[in-house]
Amino acid sequence: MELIQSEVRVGIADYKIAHAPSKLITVGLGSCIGTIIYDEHTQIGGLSHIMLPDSRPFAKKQALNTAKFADLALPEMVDKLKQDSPRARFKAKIVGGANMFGFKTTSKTGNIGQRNIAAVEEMLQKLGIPLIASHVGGNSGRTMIVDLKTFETMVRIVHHDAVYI
Amino acid sequence: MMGYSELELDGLREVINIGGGHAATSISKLVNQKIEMHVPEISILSYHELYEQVIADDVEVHAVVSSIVGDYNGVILFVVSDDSADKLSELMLGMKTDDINVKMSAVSELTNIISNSFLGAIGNLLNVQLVSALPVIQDDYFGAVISSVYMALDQYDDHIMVIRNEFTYSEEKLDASLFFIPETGVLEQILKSLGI
Repeated sequence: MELIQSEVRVGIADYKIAHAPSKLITVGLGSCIGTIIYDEHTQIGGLSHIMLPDSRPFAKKQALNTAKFADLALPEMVDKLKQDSPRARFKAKIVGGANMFGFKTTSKTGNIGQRNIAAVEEMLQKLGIPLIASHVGGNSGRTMIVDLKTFETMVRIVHHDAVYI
Repeated sequence: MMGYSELELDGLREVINIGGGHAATSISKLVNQKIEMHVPEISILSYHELYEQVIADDVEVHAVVSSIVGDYNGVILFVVSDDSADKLSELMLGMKTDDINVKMSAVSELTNIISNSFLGAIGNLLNVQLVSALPVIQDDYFGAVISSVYMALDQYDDHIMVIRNEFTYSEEKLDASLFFIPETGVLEQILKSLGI
């Protein structure tokens, strides 16, 4: 593997895996959640950008995009990380889950941001991956940039100073 | 995946064209300048295509959301770049302003007028009552804004129905887009009212 410091961009409803010294980036997280799962020893990381908590209501649809749902994306990404680094000890950080524009939660689906946070936390627990930092909730969109050399994760919010978690 | 025939899309385009035309006229009156509108864009795009072709996901925009209340529900989303917000507020106020609050309240008021003239025209055509609730303005990344609005309206597909009007001012493109995002089923009701 070439050790070029590149920026690997993860789009909505997708995940990508990369090694240090690359950076993993996902932009424009609103109610969506960015989850970085990382192994310090091998400096490998996977970043997922999920839109929805639960694939089950959509199970009848053909060609489900697994990367879109917390319950499918995270186990799948962890499997791929394990193929690369079987003895890894993963840790996670999560970013996003906002309720943009303070949309009313009276709709039958409730506040998607909150439900996404709960679903991702639950799935990480199931996978036995400790969640060591999060920057979630609120009303603002976020961009996250993960440095795979250090696991330092920069969170950007419009009109605010960058936060590091 | 939603499928509409060309005839249905033409019908929708005509409705949106009328709404957007009225919106452009009301802005023109407000700023006392001729503001024109492009033929509306109605297309089904993936988020990836939307960010490539319309506005990139990491662009910081002023986003104004007004809920549609009445016989149909949904959201009107007005997205404007900072430069265009400067221009529009300057046109409205008759002078430049550096006061961000003044600028934002001008854009907010403008959206209120645009949304209501857009919805009024559509409502008249379809014989339904449509008004917009008071707008909420937020500065944010376009990707966060648009994905969250669609999902708040229970539209979870990777492909979204993008209905958009773009405005121009004295031949110059204004970076201002009006998105009409109806709740699920509303477009079918509109087509039914049109007899298509």
